[in-house]
Amino acid sequence: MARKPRAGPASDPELLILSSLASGAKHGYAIMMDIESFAGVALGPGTLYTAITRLVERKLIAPQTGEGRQRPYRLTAKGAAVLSEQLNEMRRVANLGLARLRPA
Amino acid sequence: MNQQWIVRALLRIYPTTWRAEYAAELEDMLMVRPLSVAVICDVLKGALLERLRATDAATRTGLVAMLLIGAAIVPLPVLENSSKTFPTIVVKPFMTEWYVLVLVACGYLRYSDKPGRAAIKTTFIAGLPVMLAGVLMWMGVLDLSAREFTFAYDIAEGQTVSPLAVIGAPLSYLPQAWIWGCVGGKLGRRFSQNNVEAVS
Repeated sequence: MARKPRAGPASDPELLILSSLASGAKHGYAIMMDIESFAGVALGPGTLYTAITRLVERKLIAPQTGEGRQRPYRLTAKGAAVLSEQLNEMRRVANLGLARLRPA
Repeated sequence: MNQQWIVRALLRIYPTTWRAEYAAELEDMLMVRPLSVAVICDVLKGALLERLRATDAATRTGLVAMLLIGAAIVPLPVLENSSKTFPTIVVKPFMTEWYVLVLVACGYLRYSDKPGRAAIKTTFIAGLPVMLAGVLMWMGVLDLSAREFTFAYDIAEGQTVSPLAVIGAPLSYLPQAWIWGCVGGKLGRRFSQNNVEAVS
């Protein structure tokens, strides 16, 4: 049963898809399975393809010709740059938050 | 009604251009596992979002106005007696200055592509709850004749409200909507010409 992603930046469907494609081109079903394995988040098919549509429009990912009806998607250079920027920002915030949580 | 039938019905809700691009992939993904209610709701949500994204500003404005009028139609009087021979009933929100601004803004945003028609579309969609009420009156499902919340004037005893008048009330505003949309379109064209001259 598809679970709604947990709230928070790390559960953002677009960020998860970009992270999944950082390891190589995948088609939709493989993206969904990969996200479920590394993030523990089960994206619904509707949510997945809505996010894929946005990412293709913003040229962060690009479809490739594939065998059969399933097209693989690959991360573009622009997508890699955006992903890197977002993850670095999250790391900065995470480090700050963890530092503040540590007892003085 | 098997799974494939349900999947194809769900996919038909997506816009045509979107389906041309992604429907095959999504169909294959949906056929891999049994459909659950959660998956169906998720796909429905995606389809409605894509439909909304594919609509133009006039349709979106009309939908918002329709929801507001639809929500107001029960507790508030949205129809009132007209001072003219035709139409006999008018839709009060359409008579406000605010609505005129909405139509001018509609035409302004669509100045390059039929601004008058955009304003007509907005008004038609916004008037759907009223037209629906008229149809329900005609079918005898709804009786507004004795309910003061719908009309701002006193109905004479024994007088019934014509369902056709209720259905026609939003439609009678369409020519006016077209005019205001064209006004907005003129403003939009004039503003864009000024911008082009200023840049050059």
